[in-house]
Amino acid sequence: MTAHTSKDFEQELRTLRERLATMGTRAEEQISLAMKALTERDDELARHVIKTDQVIDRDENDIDELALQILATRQPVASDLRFITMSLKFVVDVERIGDLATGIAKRALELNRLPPLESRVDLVRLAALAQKNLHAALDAFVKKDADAATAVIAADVEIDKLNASLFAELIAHVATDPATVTRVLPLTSVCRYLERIGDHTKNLAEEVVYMVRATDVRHRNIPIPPN
Amino acid sequence: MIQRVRLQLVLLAAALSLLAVVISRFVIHAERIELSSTGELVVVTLIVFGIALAAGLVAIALVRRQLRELVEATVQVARDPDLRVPIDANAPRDDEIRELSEWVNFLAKDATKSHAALAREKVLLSAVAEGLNQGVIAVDAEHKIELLNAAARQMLGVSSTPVGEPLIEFMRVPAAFELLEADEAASAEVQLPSGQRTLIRVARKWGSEGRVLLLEDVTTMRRLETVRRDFVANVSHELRTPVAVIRANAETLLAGAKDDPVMAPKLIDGLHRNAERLARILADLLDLSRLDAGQYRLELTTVRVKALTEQSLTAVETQAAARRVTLTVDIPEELTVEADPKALDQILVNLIDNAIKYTRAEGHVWVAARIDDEHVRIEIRDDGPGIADKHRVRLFERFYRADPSRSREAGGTGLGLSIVKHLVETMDGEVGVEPNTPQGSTFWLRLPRSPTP
Repeated sequence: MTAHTSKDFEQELRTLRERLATMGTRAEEQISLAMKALTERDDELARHVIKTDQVIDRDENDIDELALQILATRQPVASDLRFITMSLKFVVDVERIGDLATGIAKRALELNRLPPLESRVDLVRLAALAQKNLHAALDAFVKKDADAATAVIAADVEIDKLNASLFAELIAHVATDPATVTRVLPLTSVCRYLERIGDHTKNLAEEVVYMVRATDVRHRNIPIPPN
Repeated sequence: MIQRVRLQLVLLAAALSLLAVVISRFVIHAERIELSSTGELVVVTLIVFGIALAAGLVAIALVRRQLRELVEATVQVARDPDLRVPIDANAPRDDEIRELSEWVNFLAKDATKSHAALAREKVLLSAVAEGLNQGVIAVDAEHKIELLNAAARQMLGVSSTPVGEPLIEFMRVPAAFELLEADEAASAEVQLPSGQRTLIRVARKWGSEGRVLLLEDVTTMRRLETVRRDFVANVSHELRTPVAVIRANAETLLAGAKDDPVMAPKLIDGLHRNAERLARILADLLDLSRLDAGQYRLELTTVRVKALTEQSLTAVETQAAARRVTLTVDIPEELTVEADPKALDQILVNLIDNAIKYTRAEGHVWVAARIDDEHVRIEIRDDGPGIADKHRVRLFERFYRADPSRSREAGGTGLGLSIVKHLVETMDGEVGVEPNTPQGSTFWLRLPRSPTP
């Protein structure tokens, strides 16, 4: 490979890395804006979030195209190949996180038409946890830090736990006051969306570990069925 | 070089010997000298060759020693640019070694000068960059950091200057990278993870492919713009409402209602109330503009906080009684502040009046004061419904109302807190609001303690 094409290749890899990281950041922003729209009952902001999802979708297409183009023209090997195959999975997870944030914004629009629920269930804490994890996963990605990514994978348990307890709290609401069901249902959806965001974040972290260490850490604790 | 010279010398010596052989042949022939044998000729030849070679080697060794000295001196100069190669003053001007030494010295001097100039440039550049309020980030063609000034470090929340590291590891703002990809100078406004609203501008390419990003914190500017926009909207609204009522009532009266014994008094009462309201708003606005312009003269003296508070309370007692609000005062007798008594009275009446108005009926309002370092902190607490975070930060703006319908009903002009803030600040104090636990709000002010007599 000549010096010139090698430099071009480096630049393509760099662009790919930057595009992935900034796409992740956009998804992160979407979550925080959607939660703001929900807590401050801001319709305009919710609609903004729904509209901005198109940018994330466009990012997904652009990044896919870039990754495929690198695969086709450069025939990368070893860590470069791992990075590019990883990026093809990475965009899918980030795009799903974007969709889930849009889901929160849509539920916010529904809830804003109803009177606020008397006692606020602590969804903000769950959202903060999910966002913190996503931020850490993206940090691990840009810094190629497998240890940090492993920590993100471990932290997902917290999100699952909090999600379960919030879910129970919401159901208890309906049990004590069945009239609140129309307001509680969208909130249970938000709860589930945040938990799903946590799962996709965990996927991102697993992909980072694979990229850095070349070891597959997915489905680690699933026992292999005996033959 | 010396090797080549040595080879040339051997060749030269050989050539000389050959020449000697040829010449001696002629001489022998001409003088008819008989040499005993060809062997003697060979010996002569070898002797000539030997002498020529020895003379040459000595010459080379001498030149070589001088060159070696020059090389060593040059190495010293390269290691320490302040040193110079010694020059042999006895050597003729056109001596090659001397000329060479002089040129080495010239280059060394030139290098020292350029070094100093470069170092100065560098110090100057970093001093300018560090001193800027704007964040400056310079990256090379690979988007690796070349420069990150103090403001940019603070904005991105990094403590070191990670020169040579990829920018993406420290900043993931999508808009910034879109700007870096753009070919021309461009800008975008973004929210940084730190919460600052920031205007990012990218200058044109520098050097081969590097780019410079300028980050300007526009949080305060945007907030002030909102305040100004809201103020204009609010002031026109606040003035229009009473004017509309006055105009409508007057028109109705003129149209014949003045002779209606039932309607007329009601309409006239409306006229009066709204005219009063307009007058109050205008008086408050005038106060504010005087405070703004620094024309509001305050006379600072030693004020006994407890006595003054009790005086202020007489102004609000009726209201408290009407809403059945309990007032509790907890101020040490001896506490004194450096303040203008009239201004402090106005402040306290305003804050206590607000507390009574906005706490629940049959609620509780506490007025307390205590020493806080070199200041006295006065607190007015209530156990009402409290104020939402997003309103709390804007409460001291002109005409800002957390709940417009309610506060207008309560008869406020929307300027009270803004006047309070101005008055407190004119007296070198501070004012603020915090949530009260378990419910309600705490308005506090800090005023300088009066010097102990």
